[in-house]
Amino acid sequence: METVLLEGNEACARGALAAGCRFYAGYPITPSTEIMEFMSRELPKLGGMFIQMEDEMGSMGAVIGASLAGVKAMTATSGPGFSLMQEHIGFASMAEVPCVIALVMRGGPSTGLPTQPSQADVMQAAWGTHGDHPVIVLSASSAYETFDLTIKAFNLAERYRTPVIMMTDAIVAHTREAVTLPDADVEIEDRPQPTGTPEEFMAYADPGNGVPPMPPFGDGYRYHVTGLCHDVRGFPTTRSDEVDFLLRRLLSKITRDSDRLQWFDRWHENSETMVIAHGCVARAALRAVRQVRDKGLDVGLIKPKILWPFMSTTISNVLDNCRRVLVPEMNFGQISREVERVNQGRCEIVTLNKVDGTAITPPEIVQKLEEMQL
Amino acid sequence: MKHKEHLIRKYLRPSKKMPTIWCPGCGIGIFMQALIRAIDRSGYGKDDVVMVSGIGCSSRIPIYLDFNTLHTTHGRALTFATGIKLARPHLKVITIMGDGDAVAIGGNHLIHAAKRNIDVSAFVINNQVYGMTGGQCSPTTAHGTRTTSSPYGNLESAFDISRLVEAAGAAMVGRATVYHTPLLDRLIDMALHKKGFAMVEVIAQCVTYSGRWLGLTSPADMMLWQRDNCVRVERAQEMTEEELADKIVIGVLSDRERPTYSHEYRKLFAELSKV
Amino acid sequence: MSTENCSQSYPRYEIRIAGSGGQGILLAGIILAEAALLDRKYVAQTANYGPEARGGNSISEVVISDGEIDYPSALEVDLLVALSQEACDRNLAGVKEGGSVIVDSNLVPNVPWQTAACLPFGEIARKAGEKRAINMAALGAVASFCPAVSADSIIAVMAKRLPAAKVEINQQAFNEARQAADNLRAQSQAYQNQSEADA
Repeated sequence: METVLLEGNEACARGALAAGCRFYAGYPITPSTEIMEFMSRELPKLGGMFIQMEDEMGSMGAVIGASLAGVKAMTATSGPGFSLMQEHIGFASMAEVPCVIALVMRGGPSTGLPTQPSQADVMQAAWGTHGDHPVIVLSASSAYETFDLTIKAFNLAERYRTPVIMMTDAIVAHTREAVTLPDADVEIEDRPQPTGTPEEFMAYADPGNGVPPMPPFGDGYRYHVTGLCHDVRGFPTTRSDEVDFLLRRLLSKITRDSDRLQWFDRWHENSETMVIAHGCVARAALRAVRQVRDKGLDVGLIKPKILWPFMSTTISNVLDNCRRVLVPEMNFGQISREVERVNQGRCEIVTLNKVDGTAITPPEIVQKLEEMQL
Repeated sequence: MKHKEHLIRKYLRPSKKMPTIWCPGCGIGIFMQALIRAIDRSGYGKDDVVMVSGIGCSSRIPIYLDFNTLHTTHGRALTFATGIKLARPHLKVITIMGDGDAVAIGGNHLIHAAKRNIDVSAFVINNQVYGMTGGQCSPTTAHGTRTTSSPYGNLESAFDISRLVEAAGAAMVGRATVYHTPLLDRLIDMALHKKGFAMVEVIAQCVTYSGRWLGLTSPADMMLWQRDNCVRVERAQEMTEEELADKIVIGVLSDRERPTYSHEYRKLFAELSKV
Repeated sequence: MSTENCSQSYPRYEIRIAGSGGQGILLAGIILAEAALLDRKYVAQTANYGPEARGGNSISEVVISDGEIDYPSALEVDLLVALSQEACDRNLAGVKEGGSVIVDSNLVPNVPWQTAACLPFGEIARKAGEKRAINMAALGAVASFCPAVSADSIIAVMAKRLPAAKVEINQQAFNEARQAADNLRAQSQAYQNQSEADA
């Protein structure tokens, strides 16, 4: 095992390579560009493919194309570029094409604050593209977590045949920390493959777990892929029974597993007051929790590593066992909204929202926690 | 006649998706048949062909054909095609787009695919109108034409798709109409065998909309219009600009050798492997 | 599914290197952080800069600890290095009481800090043969002042990170500055001892 100093962006790129990613298409945008630069340098050495596209829509299109051809593929972007990718994130959801989008959040809306951090894209990551659709969003708070979660993002994309958003922010992306690179191959999941003959192959039939097998283009299973609502063979349909079956399967293939899709770190989880924070804010929250505990306050922390589907079971358990919750966020309250939805009036939910382009600091959270005890 | 029936049975998907969505008299079917004939001549197996389309009437072609088929988003077929070709280079990637698809919403992708010289055969079916959405003005609608979105006449002039793509760096550019089928056959053959980005602009009639805008009511009239308004590129070279003003030049407009993106990438890979 | 982590924040040593874009501020921070890693410390390095590639304000922070680092940015700076007057003016307030301040004596004429170490890093770099080695010269002073990272490790990382042709010159600038800083600290210590004796 080798321990190296990596910034979050490089950890993301290395995690992707470890997960088997061999195709990258992207467009430069601060603060995500280092992921692209790393891939442009390393992929050709590994026999992988790199291409700088003309925009983010093109990047996602190429990523989907490569994935359909059987190669694990990713792109990386930030706010404005993520907005442009929404069209094809929807396509990947609908056509069930595994892919990973690294989203490094910066201040918005619009061009906003290109070099400064934010967490204001949490809702966009879930609901940015039109229509009801499944999505998985992971959130990392350090370089080493970014490495691990990027591998997980690829595995989930393959397991569920869905786009996965690997979310960080300008702080995590540009913080250099020690990352221990695994010696042996990491655990890798691959998309399910058909077992029958091409003649009997139904590209979008439900094999039971909601995830149809996905052979690559060129292997003899000639099938049709479309962003239109389609029947089990992949052909466009407007028949209500076929449309209903498709949309329910797309959503339920992920939601049926939502109790398994709960990754988080916790500190003093049975405390009277709990903090729920993710990404760079979780780092400030951890220090703040430690400081107020030194002063005798009973405070704990939950750091979700998956944001969507929202880990309602875990959060509900937390809410059962505490009296107050603080949700500090670098936005006007996106995760806190979800916490309130799960809460149903059980606990007092307090928010701490910062939108000035600077990080939430430990003293700010300490102050809020002290106010809450009054 | 017997031969054609055989080809249709060989390449059309036996499915409930027939009949096609195209209006009777539409030019797209003529192109589709020409494409099937050319693929059959080419020797590519069905498993080796990936057909990628955008959004619009002509982009429905892949649904009916028994290849690896991908019906993508409006304007962006070439980006998906790029990913497929780079990820699995042995596949023959064909894209089919309409004029609004390829040149308006997808214009940037079109010129960049040409500039990179991605090894893809691209067919742009130009019927000078947005047919699927009800006959709106497209980038190739002539100046002054009244459409459902230019009720007082089109204020803009038409894009010359072929010259645009040639200027952007495509390895091969050709233009034909669905009336000039022998030429169409030849251009599709060339495009399928060309190494690099090969684009064929196919002038086709939209009988439901463009015909109405042009004052031509029958498919036959529209095809005769194609016959009477086109000039072979060889003859066009001897004509003055005034003589060519209202004419459509057809034929092989450009054919050159340029390294493809894949070629340059493989060279890079080989160099890096030596180190 | 989750982990229960330890409940205590570890003591930390915070270094902030500030200057203007193009002075190699970011690289200095990275080399310092890699050196700390080589010394088997926990380390987090962050950067802050404007949109300009040249000019503008540039800050690189390195937090070093014997244990896991929760918050990665500096909270109370132990050691500030300022290579421009503006960088000094903007960042002095973040230095904790009793912290150290190191500045370039030519670029930062005005240092309202009682015990600031003023050394001519730019000049030292120029004399070593590469005026751009100002950042490595500044690291020489950091090595002298900072107990959290070893000079040997910084030198080792420089050899790895810098272009081969420039390593020797940069290491020379580093050593010169480190020697100058050592002398300055010795003088200061002697002066302090004398003052205490006089009192």
